[in-house]
Amino acid sequence: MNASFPDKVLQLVASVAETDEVRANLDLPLYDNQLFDSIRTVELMIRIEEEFGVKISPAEFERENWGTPRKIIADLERRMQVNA
Amino acid sequence: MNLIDQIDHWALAAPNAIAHISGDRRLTYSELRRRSDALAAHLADRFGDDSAPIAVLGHREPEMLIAFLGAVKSRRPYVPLDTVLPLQRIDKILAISRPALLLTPEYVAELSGAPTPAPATRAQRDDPFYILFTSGSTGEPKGVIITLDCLEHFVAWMLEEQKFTPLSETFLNTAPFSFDLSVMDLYCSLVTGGTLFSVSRDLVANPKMLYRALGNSGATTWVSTPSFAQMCLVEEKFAQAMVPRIRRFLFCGETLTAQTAARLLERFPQAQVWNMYGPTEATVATTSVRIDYSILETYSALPVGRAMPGTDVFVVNDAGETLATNERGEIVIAGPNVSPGYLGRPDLTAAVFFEHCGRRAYRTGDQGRFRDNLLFFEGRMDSQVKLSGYRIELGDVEANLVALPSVRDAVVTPVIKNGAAQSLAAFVVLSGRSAASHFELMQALRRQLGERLPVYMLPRKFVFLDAFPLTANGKADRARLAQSL
Repeated sequence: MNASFPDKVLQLVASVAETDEVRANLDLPLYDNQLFDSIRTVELMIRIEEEFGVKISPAEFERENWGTPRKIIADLERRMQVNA
Repeated sequence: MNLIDQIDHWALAAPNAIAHISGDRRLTYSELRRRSDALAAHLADRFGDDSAPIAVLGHREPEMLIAFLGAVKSRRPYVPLDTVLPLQRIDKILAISRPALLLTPEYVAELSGAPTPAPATRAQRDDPFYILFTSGSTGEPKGVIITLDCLEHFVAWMLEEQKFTPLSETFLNTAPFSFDLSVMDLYCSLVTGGTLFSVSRDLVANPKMLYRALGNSGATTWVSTPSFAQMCLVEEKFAQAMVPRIRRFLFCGETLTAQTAARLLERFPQAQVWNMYGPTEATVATTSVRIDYSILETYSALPVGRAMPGTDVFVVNDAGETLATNERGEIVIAGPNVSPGYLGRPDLTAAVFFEHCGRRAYRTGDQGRFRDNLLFFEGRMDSQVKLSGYRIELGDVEANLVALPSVRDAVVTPVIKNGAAQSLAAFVVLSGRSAASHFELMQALRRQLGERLPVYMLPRKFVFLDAFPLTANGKADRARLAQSL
């Protein structure tokens, strides 16, 4: 896994949440601050599949795993390792 | 058709049939009738025949249905309010509609307990049946009056066209009751002895639970905005095997794309896909067309169809003259499904409603054209936008932003992606300097605005400026602001 992976993820998260604050504060609660909702969640799933080729099934998705930018990075790193 | 009798008769014909499922709660037709009769008797007894509306505030509780029917059985219209609305918005709506009573699910349960026969006088054809509030351009919501006659025409058309099987349909209810798309599933279901399966906010927030609920719903008739179905389609398992009984998808409220329709036809080979169109002012929907492969092959932008029988839809120019096929103009609707107007606002009513050949008519503010005898919707003529099917006047958001003490001036524009509005952006001139960061300012404004407007009306992007660029006339240059995004 190369060093820029978290940066790439944050770029996608910032684009979907429409704020750069997600890069400044990795513990920002995304759903509580209404930066993320269901539609944004699936939008990020689509962008992640396009960017990294990782397919995430909404029917098996737990919202808590994507609660903050840091959690999203951790979740994706885990998925990429499983896939690798 | 006699809508109320038709609903009531299921209490005798199929007393234990399930009228509504919401979470783990079930309501039978027998209970619906007994409780709505009792509530109506209470309302008539307590308020006499003043015909003031009954406001109903809740989410997807079975008591909502009891309250709606209880109100009309006491010859009063109801005003449906969803708990997603902030208190200040609710207060504005209550100030305009001046209800005799504000009901909540708990209160309905309390008032409908003791079996009492319904009052003798209930809603008549020309009485208001419900009053639905939508965004108004000055920041004041406006209440669209729908009569029993309007609703009966709409439901009769749906029954004729869709040929629902009595006592065997399950309708998916995805829109809140304060959004008139829900009127389609609610009354088509109740009139045919069907089951209304409500998808609550909690389910939408949790995709895993949502798909499980869809799978367990037994739904035969899907009613939603295209956005909702698009979201569901991201899951590959969302297909006939997940919702095996599904026979039709009915879409209204925003543009259905050819891509969404094609994917649905592919994944649900046993289901039909219907595209419908119509403003709240003409009772939910006025035109419809079944989208099949031949329509998909012929048109890249999908038609919204043909008018319901007995109603005329035409396209006019600025002078009000009817235009020929393929000419673009404003869509006008004339017929028995057109509302008598806005509650307490003769000024707003006179601006858009008129009489045409002895029938009520409504200038929609929508642009469109006819091609091959099919209507095509081509956007708005004014600054109204649709987000996930919700109708939003940009002026409404601006007026509520400017009402905040820290805001001196505001311009709100839609953020357009792939030709459709995706969210709102607010350009704000603050009243004073602030040491807060951009993010802190934005969150503070969203929080304050969220006390006045429902969450779907909140801008997602905020741009803070010292002053707005001006047009030659000295007005804020909206086009330049929108371009700067």
